[in-house]
Amino acid sequence: MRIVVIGAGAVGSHLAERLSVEGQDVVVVESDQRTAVDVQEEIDCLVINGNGSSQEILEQAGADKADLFIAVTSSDAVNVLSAHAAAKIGTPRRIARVEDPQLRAGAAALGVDLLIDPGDATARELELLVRQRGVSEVHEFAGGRLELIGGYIGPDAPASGMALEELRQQVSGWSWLIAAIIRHGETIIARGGTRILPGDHVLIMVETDKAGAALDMLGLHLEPARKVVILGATRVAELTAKRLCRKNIQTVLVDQDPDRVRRIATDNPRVVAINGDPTDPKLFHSEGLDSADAALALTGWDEINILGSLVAKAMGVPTAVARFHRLDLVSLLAGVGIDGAVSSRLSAANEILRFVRRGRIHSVVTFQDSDAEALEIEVDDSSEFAGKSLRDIHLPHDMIVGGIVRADRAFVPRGQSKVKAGDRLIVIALPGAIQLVGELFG
Amino acid sequence: MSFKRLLSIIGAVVGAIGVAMLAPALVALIYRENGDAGQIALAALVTAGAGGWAWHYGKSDRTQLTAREGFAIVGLSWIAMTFFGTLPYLFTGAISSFTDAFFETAAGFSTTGASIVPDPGALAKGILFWRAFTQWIGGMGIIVLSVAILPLLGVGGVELARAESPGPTPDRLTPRFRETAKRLWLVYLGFTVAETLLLWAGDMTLFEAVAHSFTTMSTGGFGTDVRSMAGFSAYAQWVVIAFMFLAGASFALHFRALYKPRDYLKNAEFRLYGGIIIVASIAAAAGTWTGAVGDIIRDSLFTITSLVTTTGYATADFGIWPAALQIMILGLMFVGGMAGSTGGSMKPYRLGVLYQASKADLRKVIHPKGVFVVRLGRDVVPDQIVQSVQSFFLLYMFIFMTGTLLFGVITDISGAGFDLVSSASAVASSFGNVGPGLAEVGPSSNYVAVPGVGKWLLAFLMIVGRLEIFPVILLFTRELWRR
Repeated sequence: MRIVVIGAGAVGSHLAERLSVEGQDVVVVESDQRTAVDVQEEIDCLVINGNGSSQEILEQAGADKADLFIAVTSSDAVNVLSAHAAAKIGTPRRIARVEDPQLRAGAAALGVDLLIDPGDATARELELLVRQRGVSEVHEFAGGRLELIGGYIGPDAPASGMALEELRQQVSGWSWLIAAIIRHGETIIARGGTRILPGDHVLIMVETDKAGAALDMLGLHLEPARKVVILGATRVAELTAKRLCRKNIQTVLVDQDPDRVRRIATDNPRVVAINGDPTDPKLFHSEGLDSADAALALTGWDEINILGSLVAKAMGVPTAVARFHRLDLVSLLAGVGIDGAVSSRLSAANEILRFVRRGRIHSVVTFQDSDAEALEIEVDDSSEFAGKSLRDIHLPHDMIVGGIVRADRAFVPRGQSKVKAGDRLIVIALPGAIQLVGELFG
Repeated sequence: MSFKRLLSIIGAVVGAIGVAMLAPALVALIYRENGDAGQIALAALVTAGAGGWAWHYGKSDRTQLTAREGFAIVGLSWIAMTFFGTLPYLFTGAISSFTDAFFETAAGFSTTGASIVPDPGALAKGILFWRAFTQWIGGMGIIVLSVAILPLLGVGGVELARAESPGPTPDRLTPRFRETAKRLWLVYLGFTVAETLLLWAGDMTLFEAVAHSFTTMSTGGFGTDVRSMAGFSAYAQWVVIAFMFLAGASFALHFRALYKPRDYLKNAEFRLYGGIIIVASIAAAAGTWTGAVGDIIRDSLFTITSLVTTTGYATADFGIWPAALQIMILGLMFVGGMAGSTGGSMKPYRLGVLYQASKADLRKVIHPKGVFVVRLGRDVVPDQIVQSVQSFFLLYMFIFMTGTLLFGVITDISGAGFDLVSSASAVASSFGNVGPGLAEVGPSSNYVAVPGVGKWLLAFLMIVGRLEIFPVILLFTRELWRR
């Protein structure tokens, strides 16, 4: 599948890298020559140096023959314009990054199929984090009958320090499957011998009625936050504050810039806006910020976000989430001192990935701190595995089947579970294996 | 500060008042009061002559007005207007004492409606018309001021300034206000005509209908009958209730609502204004629950609307209402019509801002470094306006207290011996441009018994209150007159 990406900024290069690792045919158009050269060196894709909104460049990039067009430069105008140009030369599906809400309304008429707002995507993820405090993610499959739950293992967790085989012997009688463990930024597809360590980010598949037992096993508690303190008055901070207020979560926002705080107080009557240093412990005390259930550090500086999160934790806020610009920090720091990390660029890239339908594979879940994906695929009649049990298939090590949806029932499979033609499988796979998933079952 | 320019504009205002006096002269002629007609025409001639001379003397200086001069002109021309407005009373002999005539004219132009005339019915038609006409002119004047001057002070007509003017023009008067004023006058005129027709259709004569429309739309309150509105039919009273309510609402809002009627309910000050009237009326009805239900409801609504809009008509003698209701009435004298209406007093807008500002201050105790924006309804009130509203409130209360004290001293020395309720309510009522007060100056009585110096004090307070304090107080500051 040919995919054209306009703009090799943080979002664009991340997308290009993930898609190219999957084996897609990626063409990147970047106007800055130096960046173009860098991308060419790092990512296995075709890079064209030029303006992405020019029809000539787009034809050169083969946009007329491409299946998907993604415009993610930092300029709303360029994105809309190039999507418009792509529509004219015949690219079937067009995605554009647009932040200005006033522009969004008219973008569809100009030929944009899907609008992506990195800030809004991050805000949405933060809202989920806050509302499902205690776990890092909850995703539903098969109409809510299966759940994929993620969480960080504490040192006191019952499962901490155990190998999966041991755990399997201890906890039985219901189906569960630890699909993957994300440790120090690396994603491990779990096997019987894999050991769970404190600080691990564990992804577990369960049937929904057993979700409580799974949380207990991992030592996790689901507690929605009632009061949230947001550090920073950035656009993401404001979008998040708006979302939280809409869900009746008491929101306090702290920033050092009096003008920005005033503007946020003016536009958001329900947010308590405080003008002060977001890393000042005294401020946490005097303003009662320490009584918050969660702190979200969303300033524009990674350093301040780390410091703010650590201060919040030290002052007694149970959950702290920080936003990072540097993508490598996201997976590195999540779970180390702070409870979670987000990045607008990753959020945007993940959101786009979720909309990229690749043949029979449908990517349904992406993760902040891992490039693994949960995919849904229908088992074809012609698949050589139809009718075989999972144990006999010998799947490669970088993918695992976490759920089987068959007609009106859905379950977490064991080794002896058989795959039938027409089943929909939920597969957790590393990017290199995504193409393979399609070949195996499609 | 150019005195020539000042004199020129004040002259123009006085000259216009002189021309306006021709109307009562004509009315006197129609009713065959030929002697009065001649006297009033003479007053018109003197006034127009004096005004015309001043205008002519100063008109050579045609440079742009500064805001400072604007304030001086507002205060001075209102005072000059009131002086010349006494002439028809004095020339015809309808009111013989200059003090009384000044009081009556001040109550006219300031749309207060406090009177020293024991029985208006006994006055000749021409003079009675002039009395009502002064209020209607005063109402027009206030509409201009609310567009042109008060926004510059940041105190009144704030709502109006935001809605109507294209941008902040702090330094000088813009020609655009003429357009705005014209539109608002059209609304004012339209309502006046409509009310006249509705009243005329009832039990009023055309003369009574016109006179009452003049004094309703200006929220003035001068009547033609010794019983104020009590002598007219229930129908007429309902019509007056409706138009008092309209006159107490912002004229700019009326204009906008012509196209979008939902704007009324979207406006926070309007909701507050309506809410106060409804709640107070229910309280009044509950407190006076004897007799026919229809009368009780009408009397309560009429009295409360009249007081809140600062009109000052009466159908019921609220001087005999229970003490608690009288205290409420004294409080209502501090409410007033909306900013941008013809109503006087503090305005619901300011009360709303004061309430919201103190709420923000309370929240500040809990979050010392919190930034809290004061808002009325959905609209943000800029800090500058919050501050000027707070200082307006302080000044208002200070002047009310000082006025009450002075009034008490004056009546004591002169031996009239007004009690606290009479003194406080006379001052609050005059200052808020309401009209009747309580006890000695209640609706069944009038201001005849007030000693001369006391009348001058009240007349002065009427003008100060009408011009939203600042323009008159500014006249007494040295900075205004400094080059």
